[in-house]
Amino acid sequence: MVKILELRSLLRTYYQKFQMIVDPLIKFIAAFVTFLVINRSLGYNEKLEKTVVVLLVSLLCAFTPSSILVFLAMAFVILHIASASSFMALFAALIFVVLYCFFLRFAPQYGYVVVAIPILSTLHMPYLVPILMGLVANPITILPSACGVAVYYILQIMKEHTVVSDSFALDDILPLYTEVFETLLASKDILIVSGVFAVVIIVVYIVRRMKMEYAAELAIIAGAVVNVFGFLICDLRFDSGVTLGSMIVGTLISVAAAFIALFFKRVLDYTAVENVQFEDDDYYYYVKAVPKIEIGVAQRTVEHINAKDERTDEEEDEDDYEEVLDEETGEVIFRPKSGGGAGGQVRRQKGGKSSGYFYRKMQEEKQKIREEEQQRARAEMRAAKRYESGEEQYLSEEDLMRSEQRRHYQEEQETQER
Amino acid sequence: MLNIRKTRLMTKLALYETGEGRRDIRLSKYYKTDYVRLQILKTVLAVTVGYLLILLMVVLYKSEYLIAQAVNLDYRAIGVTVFVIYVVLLTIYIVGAIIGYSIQYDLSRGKLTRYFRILKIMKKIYREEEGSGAAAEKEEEGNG
Repeated sequence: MVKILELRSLLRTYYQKFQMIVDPLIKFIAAFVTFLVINRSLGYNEKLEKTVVVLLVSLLCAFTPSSILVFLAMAFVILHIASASSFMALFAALIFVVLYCFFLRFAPQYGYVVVAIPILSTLHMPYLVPILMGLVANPITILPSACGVAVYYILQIMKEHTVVSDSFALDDILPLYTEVFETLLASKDILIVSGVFAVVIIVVYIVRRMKMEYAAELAIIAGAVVNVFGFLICDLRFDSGVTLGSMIVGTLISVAAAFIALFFKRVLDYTAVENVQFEDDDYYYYVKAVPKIEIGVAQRTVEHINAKDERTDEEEDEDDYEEVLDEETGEVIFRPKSGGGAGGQVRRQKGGKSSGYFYRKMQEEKQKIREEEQQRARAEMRAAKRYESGEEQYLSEEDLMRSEQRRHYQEEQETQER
Repeated sequence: MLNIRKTRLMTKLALYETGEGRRDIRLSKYYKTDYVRLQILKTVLAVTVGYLLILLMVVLYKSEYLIAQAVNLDYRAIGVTVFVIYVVLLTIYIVGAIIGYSIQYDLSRGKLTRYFRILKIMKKIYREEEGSGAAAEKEEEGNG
């Protein structure tokens, strides 16, 4: 546990330090993978496949909002298809517009989901997206995730049916178009997968919001279970095209990835350093706001004096009780540690050299130290007064203490004599 | 001289304004009903465009059949079906938009309350600064 805490604080420190590099780097990698996958799966346009182009576009995405990545990914897809068949490209563009009008415009901030689902589908783990969306976002992500599923299946169908032709003649394109449209209508998978993903998002969201311990972890597991059973039921009822074996393996990998993401979310949430600029009448302000986080980890070293457990039953019994000094009676009370004292028996002990003896000793020591401090303060004040009134010359601190202690003992003796 | 308290508050305001507050501040310019109405209008427009594009694609898909049966088609029945689907779709989206955008507006109001509270404190600080500045000027004039 201490190791994890150390790792967490280390990650936070490094993230705050290198945030300016880490954030664009992650975005760059995400963009690079996206364009690479698009190139590999469509690959009709050789110019777009050049590494320089991919690197440059990814670099652009690294420093711009995620909506630019979504837009460029769509543009890449349309340009690829346009290289093969202009009509199909037009068809793809129309479908993207329809998807935007019906789904994406209601949650434009989650546009990256539309890209993430097709990309992760090629890696056999699109199940990560609904689980993560339920975990970090809200149920509105059902719309972009449905959009992502549609994009994936539409691209698959187009890839299968696109024939390289530059003709716009109705006789050439109509049969092709009809074929694609029919396949699209016959594809039940879009509805099935979108439906299961929607249920997963809702379940994860509801479980995550419950007020209980480990709600987020349970939400991930609940999401995975719903995902597996959802696809199983759909497969039995509607005979979906989802391969069950790869679905289960993909879900397991997604769960692991979701746990890792959850760890990083907890570690790095609200730790980002913000740079803001503003001005008032007198100054320009360039402020770097660093969130306060506790970095120091308390380390406890447990020293085992007795390797063997040679304690008696009575001593073992005492471990379950904590000692509290009853200030009214001066007795040491043994109060049960667990269960908040309800139903537990309070034991009292008078005298005897039990561990309560050391507790009292400690209290006495503390009292002594307090008295000494008070004495010292009083002595200093008196000396200062005397010095100010010219009654006495300034004494050294030790002399002051000695004279004050003498005075204190004299006073005590006097009170005792009385 | 720098006023640390003022800087701290201004930083908080700037962080909110550049982050999630950007949308909230934009929403604060509307009354709730106006905002929801505007969004409904946009939704109706988007759904209409989307629906027309789908119709276009379907017509293209069925073009051979439509051309062959152009004379025998029951245009009225087709028109009614198309219109009913459109109305149902529109109703679903409008109800969704009313609920969704109302929730969005209410949430933004909650966050804005804190923002306005800090703004009020800022106003107070400025007034105090002005007050002390004016007093100092008077003093200087008096000395002069």
